[in-house]
Amino acid sequence: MFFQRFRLPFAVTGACSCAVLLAGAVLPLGGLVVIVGLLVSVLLGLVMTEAEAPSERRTAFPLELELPFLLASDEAMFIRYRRATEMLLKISRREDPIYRGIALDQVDDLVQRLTTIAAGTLVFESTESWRIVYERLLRSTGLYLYRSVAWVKNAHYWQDEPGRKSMAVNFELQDKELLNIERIAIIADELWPTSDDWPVASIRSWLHEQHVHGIWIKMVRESALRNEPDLLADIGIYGSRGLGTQELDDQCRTARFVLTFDYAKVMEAEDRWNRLAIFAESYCVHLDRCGMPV
Amino acid sequence: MPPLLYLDTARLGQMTPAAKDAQLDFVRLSAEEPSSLYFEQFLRDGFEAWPTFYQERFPGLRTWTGVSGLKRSIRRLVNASDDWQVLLASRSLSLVHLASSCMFRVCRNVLATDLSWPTYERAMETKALRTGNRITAVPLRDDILYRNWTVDDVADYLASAFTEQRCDGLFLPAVDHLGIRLPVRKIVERIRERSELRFCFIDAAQAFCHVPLDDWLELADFIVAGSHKWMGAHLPSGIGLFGRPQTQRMIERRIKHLRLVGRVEDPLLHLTEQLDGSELDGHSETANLAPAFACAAAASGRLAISADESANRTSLIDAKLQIVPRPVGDWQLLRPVKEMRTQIALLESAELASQYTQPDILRNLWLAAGSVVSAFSNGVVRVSFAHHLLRSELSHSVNAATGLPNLG
Repeated sequence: MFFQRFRLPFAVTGACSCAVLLAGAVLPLGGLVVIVGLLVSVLLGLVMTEAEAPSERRTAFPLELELPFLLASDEAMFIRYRRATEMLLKISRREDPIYRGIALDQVDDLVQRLTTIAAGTLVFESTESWRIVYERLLRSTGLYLYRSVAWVKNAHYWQDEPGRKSMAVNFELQDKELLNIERIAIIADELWPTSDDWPVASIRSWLHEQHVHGIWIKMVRESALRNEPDLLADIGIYGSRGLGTQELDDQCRTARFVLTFDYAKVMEAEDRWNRLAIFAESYCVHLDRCGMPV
Repeated sequence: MPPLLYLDTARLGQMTPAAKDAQLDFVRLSAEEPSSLYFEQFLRDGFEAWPTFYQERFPGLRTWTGVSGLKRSIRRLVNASDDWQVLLASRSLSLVHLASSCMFRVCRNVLATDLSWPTYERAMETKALRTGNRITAVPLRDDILYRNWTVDDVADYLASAFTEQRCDGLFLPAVDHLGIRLPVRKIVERIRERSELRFCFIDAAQAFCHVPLDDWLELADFIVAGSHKWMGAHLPSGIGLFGRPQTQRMIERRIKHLRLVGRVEDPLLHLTEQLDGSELDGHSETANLAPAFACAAAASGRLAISADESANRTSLIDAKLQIVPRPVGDWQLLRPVKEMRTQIALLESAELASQYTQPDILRNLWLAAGSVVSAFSNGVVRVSFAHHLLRSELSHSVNAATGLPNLG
């Protein structure tokens, strides 16, 4: 198989070798030098052609044997690759067919998760542990702007203990001038009836605290977006680097948090942010219009 | 030699008689009774809190009404309501730092012009860079001075630039150092018709006690001014004003936070905020209080002038400009349209400009002629008429002797 795959290079090498041997037998020394020189020139030309080969050829997935060599330069990844392959080997050595069937399904799940991660997306299910990643992202060097859409469906949105801790990080970074934060709050109509100037007290004070900390706040009623369903989402845009999407249950606990570093998705989210901003009114302007509630 | 005519209030105003008296008595107090038992009470509550024998010994300090009293006077000078906050600092630059810190919390791209005072501009640029934001500066001066742009032209131009450049903040001088008075209200209103203006920061260093501020005061989120020019305190100190409901709490909180973390580096700001809040900590750097007393005295003098007198008297300047002692030469007036004029005027000599005359040589030429002015490159000098000069007669004898032609 090896010779089949490389038959053209072998054939060319063989033909050139024969040509040089024949020239050596027939031609004088000068002629032999010319032949060798011509062959070297052709070889160099072929090498340059190969160097300018279309990118598809170069980005084609490496051979299986090349993988460990390619990963070796990334020590942290190589350790995990080795561990994973060792475990796969252990799995393959077990012969029980029922075990094999279930194990293969579970390995398929793992592969699916790895595929998602490799595409630049991280998923956190039913856990508040994503907040650790969230904080790490907010504190990361080079991040200057964090834009957040808060879909407020509950009067205690982000006011539970984990939420308060995340808000404290927001305030700390804003106070230290390490991060610029802007937030648009989409407020459910039952929390901000059209007859009322302001949302319910708990949400109003949550917004006010952010405003006083210098976070640029805008607000919009959910019903104003009835024709723009794609704008109804709980998201965070981290610079132009990442996009987080949060799904909450009725108790405002995180059901799922998806963090992606796919640039195209970040740009789409920015477009949605700009569209949403048109519907929303800034807290400052609202304060100007309606005054602080008694 | 006749006395020099001081026409450089735009750089440094002459000290008023009341401020002079306050300074003289403060110096005596410092020599005779530095930091006496009564001093802190005097600082906080003013002259009236002193025992009678102190009041009799240092009458020049009678204009000191305490930190709160001084802040009240400043509010009255600009016709601000009682809920407006006043900050006092050793330098106006400290307040520029504070304002830009607040501004760039909510603004990503601030619109400025080439009328900005360079020191302030640099401070703002540094802050913008540090916080990952930016400033968009647009040219405006030449259009105003050389192309007779009207108030509407200026407002439309800035509003268009604001929208096109996707700005969200505004930094403008109410009066620039060359005497151009911007139509702040019109500009802000025009911008707000088309765009979202998150923070408006106005440099009133040349405008305070020079032109009325009250027609645009409530539109600004932060105003910075100083005491050493048109106010007549002579000793420099920075004055900050803010009170717009939309941003007042945010700015107050920012100041409180900076004090809490020990990042209020201006000693006078630190001290006056503590005195105002009755919470002296005893650990702060010693502040130079002389400017505060001069400021209070100058403020009391300004408040004593009637409203008619303190109105903009730019119309009186035309006559005065004709008789200002000046060096021989063809001096042309360089001024914006009438609505943007102030008590500052520019005079330009094409001949001296073509000779690339250095500003200090220009200044000396005018000194020799009898006038103290500021000079710039391109043969331009700036004359600024203090209020008392507009009320009094300038000397005619100098010009009669030189036979100078009228200004063009």
